[in-house]
Amino acid sequence: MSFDPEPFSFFVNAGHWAAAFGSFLGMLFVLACLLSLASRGLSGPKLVFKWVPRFLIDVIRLSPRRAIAVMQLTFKEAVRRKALWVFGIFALLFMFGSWFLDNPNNRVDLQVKNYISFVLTAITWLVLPVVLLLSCWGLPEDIKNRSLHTVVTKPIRKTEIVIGRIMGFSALMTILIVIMGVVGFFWIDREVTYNLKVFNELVEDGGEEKLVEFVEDVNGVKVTVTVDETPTETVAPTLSALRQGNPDVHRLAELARKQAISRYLVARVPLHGYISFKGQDGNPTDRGVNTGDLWEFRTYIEGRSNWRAIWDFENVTASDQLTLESSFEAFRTHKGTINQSLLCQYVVVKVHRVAYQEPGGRYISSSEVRPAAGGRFLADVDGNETEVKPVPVLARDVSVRDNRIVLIANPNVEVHVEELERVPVPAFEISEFGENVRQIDRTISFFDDKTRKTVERDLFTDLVNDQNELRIEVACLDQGQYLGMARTDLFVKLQNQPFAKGYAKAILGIWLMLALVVVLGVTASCFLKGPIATLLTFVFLIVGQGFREFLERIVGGNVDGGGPLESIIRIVRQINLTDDLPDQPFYNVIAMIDDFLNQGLWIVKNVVPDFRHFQMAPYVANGFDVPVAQALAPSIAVTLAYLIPCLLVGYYSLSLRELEHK
Amino acid sequence: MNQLTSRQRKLAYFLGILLLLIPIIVLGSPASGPDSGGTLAKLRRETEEGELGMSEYSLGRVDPTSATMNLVLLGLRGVAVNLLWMEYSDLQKTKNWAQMRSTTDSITMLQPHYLQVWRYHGWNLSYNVAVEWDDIRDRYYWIKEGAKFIRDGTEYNRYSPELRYEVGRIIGQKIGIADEWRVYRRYFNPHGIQYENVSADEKGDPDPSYRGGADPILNPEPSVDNYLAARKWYQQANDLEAQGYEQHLMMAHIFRQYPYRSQLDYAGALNREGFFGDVAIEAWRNARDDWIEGYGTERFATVEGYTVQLELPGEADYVALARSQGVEVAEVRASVRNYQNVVNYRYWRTRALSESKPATAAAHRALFEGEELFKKNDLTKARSQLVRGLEKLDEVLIEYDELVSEDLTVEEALWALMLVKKIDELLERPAATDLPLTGLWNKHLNDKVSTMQFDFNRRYGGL
Repeated sequence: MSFDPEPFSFFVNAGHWAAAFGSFLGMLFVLACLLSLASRGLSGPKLVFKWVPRFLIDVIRLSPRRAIAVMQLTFKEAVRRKALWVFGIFALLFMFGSWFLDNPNNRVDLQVKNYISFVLTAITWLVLPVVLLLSCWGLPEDIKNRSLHTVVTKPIRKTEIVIGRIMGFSALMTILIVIMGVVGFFWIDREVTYNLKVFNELVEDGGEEKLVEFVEDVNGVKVTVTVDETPTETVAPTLSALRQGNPDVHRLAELARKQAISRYLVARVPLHGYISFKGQDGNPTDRGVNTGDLWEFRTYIEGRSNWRAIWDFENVTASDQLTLESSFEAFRTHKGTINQSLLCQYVVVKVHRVAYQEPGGRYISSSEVRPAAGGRFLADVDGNETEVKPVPVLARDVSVRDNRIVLIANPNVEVHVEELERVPVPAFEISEFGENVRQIDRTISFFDDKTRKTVERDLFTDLVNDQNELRIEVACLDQGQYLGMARTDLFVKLQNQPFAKGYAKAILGIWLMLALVVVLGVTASCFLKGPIATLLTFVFLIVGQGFREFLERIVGGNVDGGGPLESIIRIVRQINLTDDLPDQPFYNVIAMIDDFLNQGLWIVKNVVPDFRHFQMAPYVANGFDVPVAQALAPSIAVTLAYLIPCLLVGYYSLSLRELEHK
Repeated sequence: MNQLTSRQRKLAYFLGILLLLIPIIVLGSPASGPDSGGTLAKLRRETEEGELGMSEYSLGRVDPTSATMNLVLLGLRGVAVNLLWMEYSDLQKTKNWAQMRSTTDSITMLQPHYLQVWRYHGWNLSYNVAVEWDDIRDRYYWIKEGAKFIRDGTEYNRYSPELRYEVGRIIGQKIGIADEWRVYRRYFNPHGIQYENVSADEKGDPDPSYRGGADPILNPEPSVDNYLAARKWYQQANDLEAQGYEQHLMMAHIFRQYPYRSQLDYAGALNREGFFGDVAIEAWRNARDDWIEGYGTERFATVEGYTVQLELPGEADYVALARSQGVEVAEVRASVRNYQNVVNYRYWRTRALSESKPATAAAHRALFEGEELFKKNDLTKARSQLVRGLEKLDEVLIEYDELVSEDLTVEEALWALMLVKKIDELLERPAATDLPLTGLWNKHLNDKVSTMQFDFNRRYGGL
């Protein structure tokens, strides 16, 4: 996986949201009070106070029946506006999509990524303009045509109008996405089936294992079935001729094809660990060697040296074997053995990780602790020799800083990590940018250098520690060569999920994103005219997706050339980005104004939703299941987080417009 | 005000559109074949009478998808291409090869007649992307991808000598000279006579769909050596150049040497692979004839306005060439010399002449076999074989003294001498002083010997 999803903490983010929403409400309230004070005198703020609980009353007394009625109305209106015509473009895209995507030279494993990305991108960008325009233009058009009067003159609440609208557009969008998603799924399956002309699969048939080698090209079809090392070759001019002439072989070939497709269309479930490195001097380090790769996603370990990459996996449960999958990258400083990929070796390590705590509860750095008789540990605490107790620490609670393993919560406290046992497993050649699945049997036999004997260890009882953690140490065995790795490059492979499941989650991700667009669009349309509401929502979308990273860089002060004014001055005066500006009052004032403007951008950054959470296509395209914790949960949280403030804004906007009197 | 209903008006508009479409189709229909297209397309087409050649079809195949994309973009092709290039660069940086490859196709779909784009991407795939992969089979796949990509470009740009040259370069030089050349060449042409004794799983395209044979897209049946396949592409490039389609890569006499050089390289590669039989000698003979009678007799225009050819065997030929164009003989001689030096013409001529002799082949064979015996630790036999090879090489150098100053020959002799000295050391014999070509050793004692000794020590251990 060439990206590292950040774990999402629901409670931490809910706290951030509550703080932001509270501040937003506070600011809104103060602003409303000031404005009403200016326009109506002292009675103004009273009026504001009177209005505040109305929203809550409206929400509490909300009638689902009425909201559903508005939803149905909205839905019918959207259909009348020919929203479903988008299916025409969709059909065209899928009919001719393979013209652009199919490359007979390309390998199926490479093609699959393109198909999946294409389908998910096409669905997003086809439905997006439809829901954007409908949600932004619906209310303003109704207000303009006064058709909204037929609704608002009835006993209906404003929140019901807003919620009904959101639900109506969402229902339409759901239909669009579901139909497109289902068609897209079968399209992907068909494309992969069509392009799979060569495969070798070991299939089980009638209690026997049979190796089926299938090749289809301009010369026809060749199927080689090997049973007990005896190959039988069948040749036919076409697949249908094979079916008629050799139905058994054809059946086996189709069985193997299905198996092969399930290898390409799969949703792997990884159990990721925590990565750290061991340097040439044997000390821990947080990064490996930089080999000059522009992309700093991976760092490297040197071959046949002390460099090691270390993964600590938690929640390791016992089973017959442990399946590890890796995707390391090779970097050669010399050609080495041309016919052979780089050699890599895993060492399973049992570790004991403790932090020392004094009786008062304070943690003491392990470097200050010394063992004493009777298995006790002593340390000088505030000038007194005090007994400290070792407390087990989880891998997730430590990190590496300045070549020391420290507690994340308190980086001054060094943690003691002891390797209790090291068990090497046989080395293997890596397959770069491909699948590297290694299975480690529960019982591992190895030659122990110390005892000079072959010994056996049980992977789960002997090597998993008391915290259910397992450490895998990775070494490169080729001298002068390097292996590159990032956190997601080695994982414990859990049971594969069906591709359809991962794909459905990605579709759900698209749905959540578009639902957020609907929410924003409907809200904007409550207080803006159609074109402006569209523009505003579109800007939210573009800034939240395409420019989010750039925005974060500017706000974080990580952009060369300073803020907007400084950039203008640099351009006009032709001052290089890397040159410091003169230390003069004028430039200091400019820097201050830029800082102020940056604060404005900070607000924009925090107000605009982060649409990157909704991008789940990379998971599915790379053959992974969409993780709930890292991808789905943040998407749901973001959509919900905007729903409540948007309802509030929508309610007050509609209330203040006095629609009934227009 | 008209009295038509809304439906009647719409019908009238529709009929108007249809009527307007007729002249548009008649006049503006694009050409998709040699005889198709509207009046304007026919006017633009290159004819014997008029050299317009302005229609897109005259450049090469017109892809409806590409044309549609350009039309749909409404003049924003440049912007779209820029965005694609940025995406492409990012995808390559993040090693997202599948999408990078399809982005490459999208870029060329929008700019199918922009030669530099085809050249750049083809080169990038074969030279940059290929090395990113660790498995040699993957590397070979990407090298082929680059060649196939530019090959596709030749269909859209049928009169481009440059693209054909580029395909030849990847097939010839990348496959034939890369560090992995021994393996690549076996992949490319498993039916080569020199691979008869190589096991089936060590030769043939690693892509299982080719069933152990060659990739039919780049090397169709009957498959040939990579240099000979490259030669076909170089020859096509030369043919186009001869028809007046310009190339802007290099001077004409350098550009036009490549088909002939491919033949020389093919023969040389056979020797490098330890194949010195009749086929290799025949290959050298063909290369010699090609070089002297083919390339040597081609005429090249000089900046002064007269033409020269590189093969002028005697003084009378110089005089005849000069007089036929009203130029001084000395001037012609200087120009020819200059042109010959640029392409190392005389060296290759001498080399081809000498290598096509069985005696030279025997010398190479003895030296090659001597080293192989050395690797097998059969030191006594290796020494005698090496000395025999050196003696034969000495005879060749006496006959073709020009080779004495050429790197390849000198290095071959020095390497053999180092092997003999190493064997003497291992057998604890006194250093031989009467070895053939000792003079050559002494001549290069301070330059080549020291640098080669370093390489030799790395491979076989210090003396």
